[in-house]
Amino acid sequence: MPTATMMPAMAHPNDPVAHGHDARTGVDFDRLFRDESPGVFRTLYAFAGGRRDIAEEATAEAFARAIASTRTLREPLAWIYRVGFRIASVELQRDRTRGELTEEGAEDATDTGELIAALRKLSRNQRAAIVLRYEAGLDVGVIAKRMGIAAPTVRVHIHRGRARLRELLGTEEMN
Amino acid sequence: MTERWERELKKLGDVGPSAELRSRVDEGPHGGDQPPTPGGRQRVVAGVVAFAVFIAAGSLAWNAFRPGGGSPAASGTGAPSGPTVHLDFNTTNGTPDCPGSPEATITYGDQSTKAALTSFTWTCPGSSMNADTVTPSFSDADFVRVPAGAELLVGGDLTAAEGNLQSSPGDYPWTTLHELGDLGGGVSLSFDPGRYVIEVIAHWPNGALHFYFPIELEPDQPVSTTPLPSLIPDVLKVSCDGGAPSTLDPTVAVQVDGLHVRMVGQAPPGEQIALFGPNGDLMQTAQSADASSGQFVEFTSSGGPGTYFVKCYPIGSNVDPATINAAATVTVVDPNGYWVSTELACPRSEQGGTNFSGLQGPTPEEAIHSLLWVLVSDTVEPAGYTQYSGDTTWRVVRDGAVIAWFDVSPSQRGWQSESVQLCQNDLISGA
Repeated sequence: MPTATMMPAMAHPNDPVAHGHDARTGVDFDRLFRDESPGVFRTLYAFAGGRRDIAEEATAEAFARAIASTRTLREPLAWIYRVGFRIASVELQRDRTRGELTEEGAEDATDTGELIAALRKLSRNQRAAIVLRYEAGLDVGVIAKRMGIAAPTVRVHIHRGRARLRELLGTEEMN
Repeated sequence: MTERWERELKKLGDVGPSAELRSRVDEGPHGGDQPPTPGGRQRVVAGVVAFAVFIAAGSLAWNAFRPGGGSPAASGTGAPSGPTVHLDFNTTNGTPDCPGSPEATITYGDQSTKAALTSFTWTCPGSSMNADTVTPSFSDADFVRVPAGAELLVGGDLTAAEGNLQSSPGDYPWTTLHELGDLGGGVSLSFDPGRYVIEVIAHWPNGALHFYFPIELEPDQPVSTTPLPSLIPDVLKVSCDGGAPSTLDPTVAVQVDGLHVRMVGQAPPGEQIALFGPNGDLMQTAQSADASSGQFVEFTSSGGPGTYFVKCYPIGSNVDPATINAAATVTVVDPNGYWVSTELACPRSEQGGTNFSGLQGPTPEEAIHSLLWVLVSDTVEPAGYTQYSGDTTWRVVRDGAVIAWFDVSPSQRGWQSESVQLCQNDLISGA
């Protein structure tokens, strides 16, 4: 029989609720940062086309704003992702306006060079959706919340991004 | 079996932030649109000042909003002569020092719907309450139908309110389409017919709360002026002359295989179209052929009826859904009933997503029926546009209610569905 893993749309296990309680926000940001900042960074790294500087600044700024927020964040991790995407977009746009380095021209020192080169040929939203789906293993509903867009739109980004990556990186399979 | 692009993606797992990330976070926000975090002493002082200002502002504004006092419209622009929609905000029972947290209602004629509310903090002398709420969502029956152009008036025991018009349907958070600004003087809802959500930030001395009101603006015209179905064009024609989008028809009908979109006119070579759905999210993009050669780009979208937005943009630039205000708008209708709804019958809070990689059966219908939680008595039938050229959509209907839908495509082992939404309360455990 086919198998499936249920992912509740409103309470994904990777969307942490409060583990401890900050008096203002009810969120244990230390734990949230420790557990989730690498994933946030990786997603923003792909979103920014391998721009480590922008990914790191957007990750840090998003967490900093969440911690400084005086509002109750009902889903803090999704909030952090959305703020991170927005900050990274602004930074990339700012660089483009100034004629400075953009994601197309960024160099990457890791062995992900070929992947990053391929990701740069996708739209930013496609990159983010692909990474959250296939690297982080999240379902469409959770991705939609983190990207702040509707689930059908996420499906479009995944479908197109996957097809493009197949074109660019090939479909050679291995066990 | 893993494809190469998947293996490459997994390499991202080796990429991580630098060790300085934590210290950068501890520095606090650097962003220009948010002030740095105040220190503890500053925070206390700011809180005291803010509370004093709030009380003063509350006293001044009280008369403007209290029931029986000068209504916003009466005090500002005079009593409206046309249809009026009322948003009423009132605190519930409590003590004079600490009223209970408020509720809000939208009323037009004999229609009335209670507003949805997001999480908030309600502060009273010596105490503070954090209230968590479910994600706002509305059913079809919740939308209050109002003629476009109606006046929106705010009343109740609040002290101030500002609002904006957001796109609907779709999932929260919705996209802001128009800022309504300060609602104290009343505003005219002169917008295109369609469904919207009005977000209002309502202020009391005890806190500021975000309310959401579902509203459907109807054409403020006699029904007889609506074009007959047969006269409604069935292709959405978009012109990108000069880069500015425009649609040739205000209303377009879908075809049996979906919404057809075509770029017309002398678009610059390589121009692209972006189609935003009724909820303001990007549905589809298409790169044009060289329009000057007479080869117009045309594509088909699987979106259902509603209000759509179209934008033109050059290849290489990003489509930002936040800029859809600059797009052309069109109303998409389904006069022939081609669209089979995939809207689930359960509240959004009970909906979940999953995927099935190994559906087995000679047809998608039989493959879906092979799932444990799909009953023999359930109906599995095509949904969306049954002749859409992409992945086929199927829905599961139990006792007349849609409880699940699948986007199904063939796979080596039969069928697979990477996009599934279902009502979890209807499922047999272990599904």
